Amino acid sequence: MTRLELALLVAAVAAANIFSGCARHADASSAAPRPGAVSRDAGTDQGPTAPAPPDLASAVHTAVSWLSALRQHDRTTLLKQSSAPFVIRDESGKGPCSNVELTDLAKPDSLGCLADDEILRGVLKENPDPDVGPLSAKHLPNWTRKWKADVRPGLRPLGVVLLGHAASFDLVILVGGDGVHGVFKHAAADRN
Amino acid sequence: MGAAPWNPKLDAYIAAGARSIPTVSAEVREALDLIGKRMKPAEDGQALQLLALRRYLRLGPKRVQAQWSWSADQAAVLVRQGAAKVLVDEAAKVQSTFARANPGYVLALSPLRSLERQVRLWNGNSSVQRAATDLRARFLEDVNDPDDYPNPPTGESIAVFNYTLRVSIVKPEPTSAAPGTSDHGQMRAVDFVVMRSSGALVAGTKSSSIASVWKQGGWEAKLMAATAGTQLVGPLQHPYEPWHWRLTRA
Repeated sequence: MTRLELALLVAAVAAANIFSGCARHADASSAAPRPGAVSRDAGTDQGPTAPAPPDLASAVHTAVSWLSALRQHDRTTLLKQSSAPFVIRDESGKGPCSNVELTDLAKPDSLGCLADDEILRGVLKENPDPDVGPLSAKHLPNWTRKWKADVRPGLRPLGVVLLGHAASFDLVILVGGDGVHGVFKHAAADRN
Repeated sequence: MGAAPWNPKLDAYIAAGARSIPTVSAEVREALDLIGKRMKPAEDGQALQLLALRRYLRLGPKRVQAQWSWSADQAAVLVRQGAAKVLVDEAAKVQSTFARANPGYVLALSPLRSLERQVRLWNGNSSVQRAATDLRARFLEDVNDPDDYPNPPTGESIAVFNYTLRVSIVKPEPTSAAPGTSDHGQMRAVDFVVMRSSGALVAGTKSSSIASVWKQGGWEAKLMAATAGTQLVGPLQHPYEPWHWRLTRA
């Protein structure tokens, strides 16, 4: 999604929210919480419920920035923009980076298998301005549905396709209010 | 592949997705329209459109625009100049070398492939049909959800539809380029087919002939030998097509 498309989408969503808000302004649950904020069920007061996912614009910004750190092999920034728990899933099921679950990111090489993936980094360099956009948490892309439990409440899944000469990747990036919480990846074999 | 009932809601999302692609929306809509018009009764036109839209979304507007097939008027001028002329000249060298090395056999070349021709190949390709049918079935389940996919589509739901379609995996991987985006539409690539001097086809461009004819018959190696020293590179690896060669990347 380009910046212009993103701006138009955000404006359209904002307009839609305005109109829907007019129609149901008496519904207190329609008040949007801040990204990453913990909401409380006012009706039952049963304690904290799921945090709200970040809004689309800030989620896309976070994902693009995270991909940039990955492209530049900038482990420090990559870790700063990531948050635990963190998952890495690969559709192939092969390799050291195919099925990783991290409960903390304290070690400097926590995301080493991602950061050191030279093929992925090469394709990222071929895609300096990746087009990242929204997915539905309820209807994930077909190959990621087995990992639906990883898309915890409060995370917003975003999709991006990276086409390269030697390889291509489909990525689903899980973004929360406090950073990226995971990535699903698939090495694609696109025609031409 | 049976012709499934046309789903109006999915149709609305396909149309909205096509309209949302900047710069090349008109070209994409023309191709999708042709896919629908040229389908045969047994083909699922909506599925074929959905799969083609996925490909356009994956490529993005810049690549679609750069690759889009020449019109007849463009082709009349452009095929005789620039990279297209170099490709034709290099292919002629391969033909000549091959004929000398393999008496009784010649190489024929694929012609420039119009959008219309690409649509017919797309609609008639069995791997495309299988992938399209599967993709459509999965998307029908999704778009039936009125929360994520309201009707009429909204800016937000169109974006979700587009990105979900874009990152969806299809199986089998289509062995035909989406209409308009073939390397043959701008003479960026050439397909060689082996024929007897009498005109009978020996090794053609069907995927089913790769193992039994191209490899076992030795034609893959003979074609590769004939391309040595030219500016052609190949063959195409994804999907593997021993007949498909293109100019060295500039």
